[in-house]
Amino acid sequence: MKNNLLVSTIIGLNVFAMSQVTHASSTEKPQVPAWTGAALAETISAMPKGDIQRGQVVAKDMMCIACHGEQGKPYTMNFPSIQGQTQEYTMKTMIDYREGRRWESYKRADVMVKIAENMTDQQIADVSSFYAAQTTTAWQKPTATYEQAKALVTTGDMSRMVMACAGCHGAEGQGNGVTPALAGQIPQYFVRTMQAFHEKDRVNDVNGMMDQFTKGLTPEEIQAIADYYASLMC
Amino acid sequence: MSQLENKTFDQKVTRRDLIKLFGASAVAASGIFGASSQAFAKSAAHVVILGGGIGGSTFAKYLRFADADVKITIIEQYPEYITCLRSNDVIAGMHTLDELTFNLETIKSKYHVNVVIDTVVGADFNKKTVRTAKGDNFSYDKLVVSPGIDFKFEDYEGYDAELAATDFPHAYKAGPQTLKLREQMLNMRQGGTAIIAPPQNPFRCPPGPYERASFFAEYFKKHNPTAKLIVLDPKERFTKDVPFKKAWERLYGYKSDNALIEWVAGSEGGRVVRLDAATKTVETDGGDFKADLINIIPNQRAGVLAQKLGLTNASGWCSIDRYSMESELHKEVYVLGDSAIADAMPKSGFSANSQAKVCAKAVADTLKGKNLEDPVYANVCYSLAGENYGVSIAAVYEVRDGLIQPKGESAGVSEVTELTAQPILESVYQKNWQRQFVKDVFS
Repeated sequence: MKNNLLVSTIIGLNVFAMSQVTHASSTEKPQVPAWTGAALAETISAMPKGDIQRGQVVAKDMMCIACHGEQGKPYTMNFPSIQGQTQEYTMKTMIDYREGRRWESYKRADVMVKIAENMTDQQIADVSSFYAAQTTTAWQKPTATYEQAKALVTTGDMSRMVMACAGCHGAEGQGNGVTPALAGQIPQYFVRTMQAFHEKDRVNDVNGMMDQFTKGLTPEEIQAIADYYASLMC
Repeated sequence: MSQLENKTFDQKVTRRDLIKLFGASAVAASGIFGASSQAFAKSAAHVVILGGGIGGSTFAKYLRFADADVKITIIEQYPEYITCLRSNDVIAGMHTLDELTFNLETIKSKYHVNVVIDTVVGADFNKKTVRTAKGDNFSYDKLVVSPGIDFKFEDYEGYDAELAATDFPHAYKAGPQTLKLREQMLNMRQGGTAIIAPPQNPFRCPPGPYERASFFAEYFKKHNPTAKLIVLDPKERFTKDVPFKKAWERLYGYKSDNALIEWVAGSEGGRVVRLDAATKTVETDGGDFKADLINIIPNQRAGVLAQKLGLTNASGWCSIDRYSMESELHKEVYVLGDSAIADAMPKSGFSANSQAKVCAKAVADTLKGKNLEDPVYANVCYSLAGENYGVSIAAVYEVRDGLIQPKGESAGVSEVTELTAQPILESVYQKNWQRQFVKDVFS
């Protein structure tokens, strides 16, 4: 319906306007301005410092571990690995959920939106630092398409405007600041995410880069890259 | 729409599917959609369903899954159906009535069900016919009745259907009364008193009154903090009362000096016996309560149609065979949902849906001359104690010692924990459940 924050502000200001306003329902994507590089950098640098020990308590209290596992490695292929994820990226993700910027229309985001709405900046910083402190382990063994994928990841294919993933995500898929680590990522989640970028279901990146830089990839190549990253550790 | 969405229930029926269902000549005669009764083989059995709510709609769909050849007709009074489930959300402003409104168009076209919008006025169980207000007669081989509930206004002196339709809505069938109650809550004076009076057992949606009470308290907390809600209950306990009361403590100061919500048990005088509409006062076993808003949710019995057709016993409800949902009073007549006596199963939409599936299989098996299998029923009720605070109850049921009872250790209620996320997650699961459930029933 409407932006949650906006609605609560309106209610706060004018009690008697209530009959005109309905609570935000989780059926429509709120209108949130896309990130600019500068706004994102400013938001992340304004976050409080995280504490690993407190973050472990938050992970339990907010039941992150129920889906993502005790150290951020999930028990099933349904949920992303956040083990060893950069602190900045996890913070960005939680902020995106909280503000409704990340709101995939296929409803997978509902749980994360509600959890994020109930977390403070401090809790987000803490839990993000806890996951950043974990060591990334591989999800699966390398597959037959490892070398093919590695070539695409490291050099891209300029004939199709496919950029080298490693250029931003790191030579070992270790990530860099707000650019997420991809090493050890669950391949099903990776493929789903790429589809979401291509279908504009996910638009929480800066300047729509993920869609632009990877548009030329075939579904087979995306699968190969997913399997490649799933077999990395760092 | 994303490719990632689950399309299981959105598959188009192809011509080939139809030919498989009805035979080539029937398809040629009837066109792809809107299969008329002529489209079915002369020898095909005819199953007539009275009531196109959750029980009736689910039954039609799942009978089609179980038997491609049977003729199915639903006779429903109204062209549109508003689900009672989640209608408390309309009071709280989290849903609109439109979002809870469904029709039988998809059931009709996708599962080749004859849908008749008409009122049933009688049935002849010997001749196996049903008569409607428009004067049509329908012959059936099996009759399935899913008529919902009726209210026992006579249990409350001074309260009646007319008052419910005007200034004292019970809002326990979703519709105009739901909107009226919302309006009354929004317009209640600052510092006013509201009363919700839940019914005696058994009744539709056992957590419904307490979820509604929670929403009143949540609204008061935000917009009318000096107001008070009193729940006048004829009972000593209610479903999920442990997690509900914990939520009320956490969110609405329950049992504290400035509690937004107070709950009065039957033994403390909570049973409402009279309404004085002129002075907005209710009389209980424990004395009079004056209020600005009074929401009596009346005691209940089986739907009017079940009574008219003589399917109810002395309890006011319909006794059924636990293996098939077939009426114990009339052979080849089946009763689904709230009207049926299903022992430990609550009167919920989920239960009606589960019973409809069991019944569809039993009817299909009987028509094919097969033996009935042991049924497995299920129920889950998600309720909200606040917009972001869910509580649930769940069980799987089997027939044991002649009664429908929870199987093994399957029954459970939300545990009260100190984990912040637990009630938040349950509130999300509730929304997800509702979204999928209505798909299962109506599409």
